[in-house]
Amino acid sequence: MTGPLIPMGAIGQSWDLVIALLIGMAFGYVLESAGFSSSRKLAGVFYGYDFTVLRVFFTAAITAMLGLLYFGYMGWLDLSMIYVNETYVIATIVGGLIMGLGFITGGYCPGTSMCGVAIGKIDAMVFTGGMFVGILIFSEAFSLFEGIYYSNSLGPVKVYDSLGLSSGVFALLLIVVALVAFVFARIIQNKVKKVDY
Amino acid sequence: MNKAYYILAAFLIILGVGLLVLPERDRPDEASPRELLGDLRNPSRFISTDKVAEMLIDKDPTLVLVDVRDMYDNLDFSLPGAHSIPLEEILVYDWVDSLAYEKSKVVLFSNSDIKAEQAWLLLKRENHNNIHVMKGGLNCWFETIIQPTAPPETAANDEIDRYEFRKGASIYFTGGSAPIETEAGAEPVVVRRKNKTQVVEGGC
Amino acid sequence: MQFKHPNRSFVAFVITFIVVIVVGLLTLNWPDLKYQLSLEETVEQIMLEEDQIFPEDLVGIIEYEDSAYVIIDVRNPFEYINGHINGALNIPTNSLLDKENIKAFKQYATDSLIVVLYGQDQLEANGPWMILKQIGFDNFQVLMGGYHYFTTGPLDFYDMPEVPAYLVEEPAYDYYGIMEEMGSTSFEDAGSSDQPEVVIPSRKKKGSVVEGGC
Repeated sequence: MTGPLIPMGAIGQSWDLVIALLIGMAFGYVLESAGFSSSRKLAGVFYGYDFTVLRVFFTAAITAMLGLLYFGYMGWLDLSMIYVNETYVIATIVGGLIMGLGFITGGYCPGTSMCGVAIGKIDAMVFTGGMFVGILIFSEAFSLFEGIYYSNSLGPVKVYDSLGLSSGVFALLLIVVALVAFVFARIIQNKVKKVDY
Repeated sequence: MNKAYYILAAFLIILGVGLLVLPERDRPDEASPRELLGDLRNPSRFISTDKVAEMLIDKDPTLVLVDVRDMYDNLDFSLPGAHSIPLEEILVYDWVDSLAYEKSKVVLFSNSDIKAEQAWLLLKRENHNNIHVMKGGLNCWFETIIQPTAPPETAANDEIDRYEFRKGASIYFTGGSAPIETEAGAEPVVVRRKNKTQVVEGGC
Repeated sequence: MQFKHPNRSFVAFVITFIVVIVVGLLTLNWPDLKYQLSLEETVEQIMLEEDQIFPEDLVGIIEYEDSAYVIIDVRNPFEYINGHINGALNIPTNSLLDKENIKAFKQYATDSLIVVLYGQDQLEANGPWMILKQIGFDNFQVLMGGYHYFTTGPLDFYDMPEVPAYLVEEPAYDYYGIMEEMGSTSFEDAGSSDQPEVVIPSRKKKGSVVEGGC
């Protein structure tokens, strides 16, 4: 269910898919206008010649965080209704390694590969095909991975809770970290050899 | 660097600092002080010992009795079926949802009604409904139900009926036997259940 | 790589976001009375039982006209007129949180006065005391026994029984003893709840948790 309007009962549940469609369209639009259907641009984060991915996603995360915290404060949003994923330590680390490997090698991540497919790029289509094959293998071989998959659950913890900070302090810290990261990204980007794409 | 990025960065920092600076608001799920005062002025939270006795005798399933005295007082004596949730722990865990459902009447009691009302106010601040206070507490319970005083001969019928009810209730709760009637053809004591839905009356 | 000037729609979006937040904050209703004590702190304060005043102490306060105290009658005006404690002001519970009264309470706090609340019995003053305590007025106390005890019961320390009548939360009777005496000792079984386990389908609206991933 897409919150906050539907869980609060403001609009009916059948709007669920409509909202999903609208959000999907907006997301695709933003990704494409940021240039994320080019695998070279995406892989730039790892080689140091283009940090757009870092800037876009970090800014998106901060905007969402500020929005949630302010709306929660004003009572427009019930923060306790938001689903917080459970944290599985080992599984997340292993998954992250695999994802990072795939990202660098293929130059796409799942969402952006769909963008590439939408504009007809063949490497994106191959990437997506590979993604489906991977999912199939995982599902069939799930009994092998089950142990790792479910290990070390810390429950749905939030970062600032485990650090002992309040959400406001954490938000400010994250913003400062983001701005510093952007500055460093700029510096690195200027020093690295340009790649033509 | 582009001026716009500087401005954007400044905005983000301001928003971040804003979160720290904003004064703490009352949690929206709590009742405001004025709402609490409004609840205080409404006497419908009180339930008489007679009514509680009636509900116990009828084995009314909507009754949930909660003893807010400490554990030792509860072990010494308590009302039948009462749960022991001392005042200190009344908010510690969410017992209201596990013991009561929509139509339940949760009745708090203590030796008198002060602790019970304190518990009631705390629960009211957390916006629980259907919480009641037994007026007069156990002291009143003993004065009205267990050892009722007979009204004078000239009392109104209401009072006499109530006294008969209380005598019967006393026997029910103490498990004793009916008193020996010396008059011939005396009627046995009947536990008459009157459905009085008015505000608490005839208490202590 | 050069930086493109951020286009108009982006700027418009940022400005809208900020305007929404600012407007939201400004239009919030800031309640004039906020709780200063959390629920846990309130429970702690209640359990301390420090804000109660004995009737015999109040006698002394009135006799010597102790100006560190203010006495407030929370009953309705009719009862007040019929008879009240010497020197008491009348602030009925109904108007407890009115603006003038809150101002007066703040003044008492600044002047470090102790305010004694009383009602017909201790119960009547208990509610007002609790609300004021949670709002942050911690110089209020409740008269034990209330007006009723003050005008009837023994106020001389030496005349009082061991457990004075104004200690209402003490058991007035030996509960177990009486129950034992009046019935068989199996009174604990008598009237015990064979309350039927009624399962009434509870139509609780469990707020469905929003799930989902990326």
